[in-house]
Amino acid sequence: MYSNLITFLSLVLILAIPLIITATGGLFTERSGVTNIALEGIMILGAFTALIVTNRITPESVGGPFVLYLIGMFVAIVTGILVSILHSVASIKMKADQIISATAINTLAPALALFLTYTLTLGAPNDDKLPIFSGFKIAQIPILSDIPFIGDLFFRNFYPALYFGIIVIIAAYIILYKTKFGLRLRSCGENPHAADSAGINIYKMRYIGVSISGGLAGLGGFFYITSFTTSYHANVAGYGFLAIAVLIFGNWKPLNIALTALLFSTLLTFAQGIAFFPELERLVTQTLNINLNLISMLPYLVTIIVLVLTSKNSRSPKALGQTYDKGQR
Amino acid sequence: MTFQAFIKKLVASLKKAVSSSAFTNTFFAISSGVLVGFVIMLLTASSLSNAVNGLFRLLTGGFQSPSMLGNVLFSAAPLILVGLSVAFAFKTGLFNIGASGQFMIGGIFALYVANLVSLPPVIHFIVAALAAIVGGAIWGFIPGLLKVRYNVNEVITCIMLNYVAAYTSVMAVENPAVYDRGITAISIDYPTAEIPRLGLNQLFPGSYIDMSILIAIAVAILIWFILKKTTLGYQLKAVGFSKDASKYAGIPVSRNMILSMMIAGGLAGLAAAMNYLPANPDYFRSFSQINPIGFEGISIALIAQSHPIGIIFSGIFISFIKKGALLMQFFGFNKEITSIIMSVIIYMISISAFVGQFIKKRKLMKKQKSKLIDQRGDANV
Repeated sequence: MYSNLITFLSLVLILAIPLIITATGGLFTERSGVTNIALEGIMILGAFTALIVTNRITPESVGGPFVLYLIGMFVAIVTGILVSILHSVASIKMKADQIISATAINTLAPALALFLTYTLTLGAPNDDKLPIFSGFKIAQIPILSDIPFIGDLFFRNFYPALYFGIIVIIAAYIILYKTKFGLRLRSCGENPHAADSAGINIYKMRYIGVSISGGLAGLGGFFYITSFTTSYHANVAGYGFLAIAVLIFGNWKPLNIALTALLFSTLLTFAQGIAFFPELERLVTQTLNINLNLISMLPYLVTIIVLVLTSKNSRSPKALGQTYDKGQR
Repeated sequence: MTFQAFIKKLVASLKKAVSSSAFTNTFFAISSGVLVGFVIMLLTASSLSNAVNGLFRLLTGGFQSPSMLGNVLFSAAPLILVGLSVAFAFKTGLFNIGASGQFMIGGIFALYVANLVSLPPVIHFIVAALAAIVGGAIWGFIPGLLKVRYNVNEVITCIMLNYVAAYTSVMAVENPAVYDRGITAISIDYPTAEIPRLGLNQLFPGSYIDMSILIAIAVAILIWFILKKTTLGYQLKAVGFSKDASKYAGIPVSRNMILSMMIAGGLAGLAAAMNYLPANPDYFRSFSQINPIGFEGISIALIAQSHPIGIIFSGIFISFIKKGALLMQFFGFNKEITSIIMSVIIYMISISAFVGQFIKKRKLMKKQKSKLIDQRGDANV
């Protein structure tokens, strides 16, 4: 029972991390006034380049799997930023519809990854899948892992992603609410004309906002594929879109986003991981006679219901999705 | 109006459309998409001739035989309808990212009616298609209602409902009353509900074509008519431009938004009927995955800049290069190149207004400059 509980909770945590990181990325871009539904595509490409690089390097040659992990993270972040520039140049400089340029990236990402994998034989010949190095898990941290419960959950058999996720939330909170930069960024998403007249460079802030979202989404993509899957098929299972849902659900606030992501991942773990817990599965399918597909729907249905119940307080950034034009007023 | 006058008017409006900036923008976007696709093929190909041959197959494959052309049109029908679904919502200021879910539910409705109801031929098809529209409309109604009643962003509801639809359809497919173990999908044994072929298969011998493409074109024209010529269309577009102004003008905003999402859902549902009811249908299997067609619909709508008539062409175009890409695979290229080309086209379209203005400005400046020089020249004389 205890080990089941630990398995369950660590699954919840590891499932929440990519969502939290990507949604926090979304937070920065949307707070600056630019929507970015390209998070999905950016996750896919961030994971793709990070995998190409980490698959080429042996962990021994760089000093262990953790260093390799850091290299992968770095590549994913850089890729994410570069891809997001496609979006920011179109939507900020060229005043394109923000949905359209983002859709272009979402269309491009899986296609480019599959095309290059297949045509350049990056994986096995005549295959469009990439293998994923499986040794990133850290077995245990001495002393700390002996703490009851906490030690088992946080310091034994965990992915480093866990800690980076926590760092990202705290950093996002501090940057957005405790720094001058954060205040300026938020003002760009609320009332850009007022911000402009106060001497803030709207375009620059928005470029930065979109770039942060790109970097974090790339990182989220890398964390997603290294934590869950054993082979990569240009697919992050809609996590980029779910991250946007978490962002809206979390009411554009960093701590709410973390809580929402945890709630969502709890439901998702319950739905998808029920096979890990035979007693529970028997209870649901045989005693209660519930179709497992109904359980699988649960996270999505609950999200809708909670949104209906809480939407009165929901407040998106006022200037979200609007192109900023200096001469408009 | 005489027939000749009608033709004259048609030609005139076509000329106007072709010379419009939207048309040139789209043309340049498509050309640059193909160009980028070719460059990527050149960079990855083993030889120049391989890349050229691949590109040739991509651009002519759809024409290479009457049966191929027939199949291009056959596969275009659902794409056109999904594109219309997204575009219709766009016109009213809503983003229908849930066309996939509406498509899946519509497909279930159509196939259930096809399998479980017995009716005479043609009528059975019509009833099944109507059921698909109802199914899609229900799935579109939910985000519409939640948006106006509870202020829930339609994008998030649509994304969530896509997943719900995926799991719902797994249960619906595995229902023993309709499940066919042999093909591991919903049974396709419904001869009376098949889409009538109207002899089109004699026009394109050897192809799967049926009247679905005609239905798709007719619906596109109908949507164009609704948006352009009716009060409802005017109101829907007004809501899309400004909710507050529409409210002030006495337009029932809430009703129109819900209606718009229902029509969008119905169109996606109809697309599913065109996809699952042909004599050679797509199998509806029990994947717990979201059908990606809704995302293709977004691309198709965007390429046509949400113009209903344009969507007929963008839908056929996408179907065309998809078929060409299959042939291109013989030259060692992955068929994903179509999506790469599509993404470049969408991107170029998104920035085309800016680029167009930029070019216009440059031209204007040049003109003024030359004018100045001319004037100076005059003064010298």
